[in-house]
Amino acid sequence: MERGKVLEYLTIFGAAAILGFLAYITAVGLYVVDNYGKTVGKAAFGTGEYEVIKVYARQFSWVFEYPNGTKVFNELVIERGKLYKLEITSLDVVHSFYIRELGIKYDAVPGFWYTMWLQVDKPGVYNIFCAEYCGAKHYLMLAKLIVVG
Amino acid sequence: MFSKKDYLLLTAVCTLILLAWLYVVDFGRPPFEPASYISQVIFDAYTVVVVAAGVVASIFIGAMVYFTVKFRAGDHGEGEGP
Repeated sequence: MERGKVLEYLTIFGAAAILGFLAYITAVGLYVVDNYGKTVGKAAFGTGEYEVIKVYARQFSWVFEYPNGTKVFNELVIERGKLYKLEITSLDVVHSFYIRELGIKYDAVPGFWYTMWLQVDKPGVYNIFCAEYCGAKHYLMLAKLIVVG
Repeated sequence: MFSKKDYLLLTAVCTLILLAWLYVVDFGRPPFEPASYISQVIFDAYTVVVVAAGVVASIFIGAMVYFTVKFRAGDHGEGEGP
């Protein structure tokens, strides 16, 4: 085979291999993140060893509803190392629940519930942003995630 | 037409661009210390993607830069239109 053809095939199949590898990494990572509660110890999902916190996004604040029904504005307090299942929705327009330091971002869409597994091992205060432009005061839609323990 | 020197120069240009890319992205290190296993998975994917993108971009940009210089219009008539 002539050299030009070899280079051509190398380019095509090399690029395909890199893209395939990236797709594999992404798919595995997404599966792990989305099913974390089901896979961690196999126990969390079946026996409810996690707390469900409902997250409502609205213009221009975050509302967190704890299992006992308490609703808190713009402040989510969780325990270090404990598993939480956040159920996220929106009450008006599309928002996006974004914690930069944790690398997670989930859309909040009216009429839909999205599940986000959350477990933080490092105590501290993390900023919660809205990462989807949602109106004139979008920039004020800030909350705190406080990890204690 | 394409000598060993050309291959070496092309490789050097691509490598330089890749090194510049890696420097800009802090060698793929995550912007924050992972605070949980989930964050670890996300930031690992970030590292892999940003480095792989650097490899692809450096080959593409390196080849473009090198060929633009090598086949630029000169006195010998190369690069001229019909």
